[in-house]
Amino acid sequence: MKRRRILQALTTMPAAALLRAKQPAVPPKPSPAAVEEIPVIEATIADSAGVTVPSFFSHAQLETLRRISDLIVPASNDLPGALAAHAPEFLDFLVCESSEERQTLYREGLDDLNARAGQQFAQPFAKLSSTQADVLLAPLRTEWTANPDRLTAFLRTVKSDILQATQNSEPWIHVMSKRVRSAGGVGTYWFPID
Amino acid sequence: MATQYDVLIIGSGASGGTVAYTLTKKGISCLMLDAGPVINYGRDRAFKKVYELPYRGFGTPGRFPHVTQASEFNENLWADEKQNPYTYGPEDPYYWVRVRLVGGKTLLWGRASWRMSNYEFKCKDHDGFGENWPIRYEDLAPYYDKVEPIFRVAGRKEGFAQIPDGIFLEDNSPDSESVRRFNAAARARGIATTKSRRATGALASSINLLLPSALESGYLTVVPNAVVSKITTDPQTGLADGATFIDRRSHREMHAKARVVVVGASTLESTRLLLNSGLANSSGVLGRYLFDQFYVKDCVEAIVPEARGKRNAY
Repeated sequence: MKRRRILQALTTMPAAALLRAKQPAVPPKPSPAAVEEIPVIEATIADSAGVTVPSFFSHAQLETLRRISDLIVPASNDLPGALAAHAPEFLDFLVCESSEERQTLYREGLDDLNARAGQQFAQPFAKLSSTQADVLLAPLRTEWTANPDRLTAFLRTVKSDILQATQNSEPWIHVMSKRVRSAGGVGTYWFPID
Repeated sequence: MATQYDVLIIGSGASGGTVAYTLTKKGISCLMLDAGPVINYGRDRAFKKVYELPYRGFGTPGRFPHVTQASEFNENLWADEKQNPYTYGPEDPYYWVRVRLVGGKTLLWGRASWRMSNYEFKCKDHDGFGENWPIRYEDLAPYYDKVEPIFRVAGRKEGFAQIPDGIFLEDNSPDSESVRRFNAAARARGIATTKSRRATGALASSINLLLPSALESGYLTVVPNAVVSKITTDPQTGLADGATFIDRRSHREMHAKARVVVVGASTLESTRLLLNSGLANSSGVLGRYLFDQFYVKDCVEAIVPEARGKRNAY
């Protein structure tokens, strides 16, 4: 039957007949097991289906955070990096939910890095080469002290957060759990107790 | 008519659990009130992957600024700081760790089971710092002897005066490579080391080591979700005769009677309850000179590549 004839036939069919035509001839019967035992529906996590919509950092701040993330945890050895783990976008969400103190540390730290990049290399941090960025990230290589300056405190925090956000992500754990049995990222979760 | 118990125990953790364990063996009827619910290890927990948690394991922001051992996996076990806020002066921060569950903090302690010695109890005599305690190690030693076997404390006897030996399950387990390196470094400096001394077993808690035998005796009644607001006194004698408590879920106010009241609801909660009840403060020192269990907040970690075992060598 030609396409035009099919379309003509469809337009002349009553609505009820149309609906019937879409249904299978015999509705599938639920399996006896499903009737007796209520199944737990298999579901997936939101990160598998979508990405975080950034809402906290400015465009420039987020680009700076993405660049740092890529430098701290680059993709290597078949392991996804911080960018593939969407660590910067997750941190945008996390910092947005966090205390004002942490928000300020992040905003000031990212702005500071960007300003230093402009002063030293005449371009935003996000555009720096690895060698150039390395100069600004030098405080991460200094000896640990209890009371660091503001930029060092930020860099230590953001490094730790990027590592955790990456290593606790589904893509990272998916790869690592195949290599090391103890790296499955599994823990005992306690539900609210009443 | 409500039952009158011999002893009302407020709290179900280390002290409340031990009191119940000891008194019920002597045939003394006990009522135990705890502010929290009963935990069910079969029903209340499940294995989850960290990326399935809402905050990827970072924990709900702002929920536990002071409970450093709270994680996103176990954050429902601790008393919620937003629901139960507290204050302190800016120069005197305090990390108040609370667990409102039957079993209390024995459900979540680090199991470190070191005996204290007269270096602590008589510190002023030893080095001039602090104040001597009103008890000596010799007064406490018989009680350590009773508790260690119950909690199956493992350790190695060394004869050190500063950490007296106890009744240990002998710990002959091999040291890890990193511990061997640490011991060698300490030996080179004349510093003695020993195995850790800690309670063993799948769980070292009041709910599996103290309360079951007390319940089995038939002399213990446990009421969860009972938030005690005040200890009451007999107007004739002035002695404690029970407690008013509020059901946590319905907010119904109730009263329970007993001949004796034992307060074992943790250092600060017990003190607060006594202050709110106007009891035990003729000296005026109630609420002062407190010593609570404390926790380590910051740790400096270092990775020594050559000390890594093969198991986690990635």
